[in-house]
Amino acid sequence: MLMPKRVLHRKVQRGKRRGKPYRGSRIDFGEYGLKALECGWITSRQIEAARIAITRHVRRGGKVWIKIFPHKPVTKKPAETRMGSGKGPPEFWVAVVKPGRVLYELSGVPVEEAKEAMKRASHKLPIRTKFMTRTGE
Amino acid sequence: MQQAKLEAQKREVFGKGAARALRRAGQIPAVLYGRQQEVTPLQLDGQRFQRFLRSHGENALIDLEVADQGTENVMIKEVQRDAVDHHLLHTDFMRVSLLEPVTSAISFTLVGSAPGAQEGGVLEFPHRELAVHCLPTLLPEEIEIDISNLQVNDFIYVGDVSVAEGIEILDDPHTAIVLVSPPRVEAELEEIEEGIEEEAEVVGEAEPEVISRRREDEE
Repeated sequence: MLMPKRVLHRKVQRGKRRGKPYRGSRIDFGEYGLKALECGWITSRQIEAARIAITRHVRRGGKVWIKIFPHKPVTKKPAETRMGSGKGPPEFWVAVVKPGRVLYELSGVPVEEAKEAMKRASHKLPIRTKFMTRTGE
Repeated sequence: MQQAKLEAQKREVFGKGAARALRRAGQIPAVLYGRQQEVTPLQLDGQRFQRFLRSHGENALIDLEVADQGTENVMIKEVQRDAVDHHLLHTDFMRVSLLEPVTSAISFTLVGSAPGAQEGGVLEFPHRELAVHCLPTLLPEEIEIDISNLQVNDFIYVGDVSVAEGIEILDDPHTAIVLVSPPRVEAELEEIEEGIEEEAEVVGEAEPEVISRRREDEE
């Protein structure tokens, strides 16, 4: 699963998710894309599950690009622990996504197949998304 | 290239509140600059400009008619769009001289069908635009690239692209712009999926190296 190799800080604060992305809202590599319509945290497991859903559907022929990366560690206190005594250990990694961000790109398949693949991927994600093409955006 | 015509009005209001009000009224805020002349804030009809972009693209040489100011030769420098719904937000126009060459990014289209792609290969084009340097009147709307001889593992490089006389391509001639990569076989696909799942199990509990801690150790 995706996670950074090296980090500056083991734990980080939760942050805000307001605004729209300045970058990553256009299709750069492929023909089709899956665009986020809401903000949210997408975990590395969800990113991987959606990627597998796409590759399993298109099988050979297609090429997939993952346009997000889980840079942010999320901590969690163990179960049945009393409050206090510091922040819990890092539990999983998330990508902070804002509305308009292109999450995946795909090329080398017909548009109907790409639509279905992206639909299957969107079922694995915690936010609303839309299918987009390079020409129609 | 045929010179396209576009109308605009001088803009008297500034700031994000005024810009939002303009957009609600169906206008697009814009700005005109270049050739060491004064910067002119403009506004233009949103729907008309959208139609203009669809028919002429973003590389057109434009006869921009500004109300009460006359006509100028301009090109579109930047089009800002909304990240979610892709609506137009703002446009930059740059004054150009018809006698001085300009640099512009021109998109290319693929002509024909690659036999390699029909045999199961994946047609990839890692670059979608080429940087060209020429007089504004010579700027092509798009560059056509013939792929009808492209087999699996064949490449088309920037150096292979032929353009009209007077147009210079600035990109590195050794950069591959179109290729047909071989199809993945069933076993290869399974290997990739298994590899990732195994890796996930191993990586699942590992933690990345903390850079600040390493620095402290070194000191």
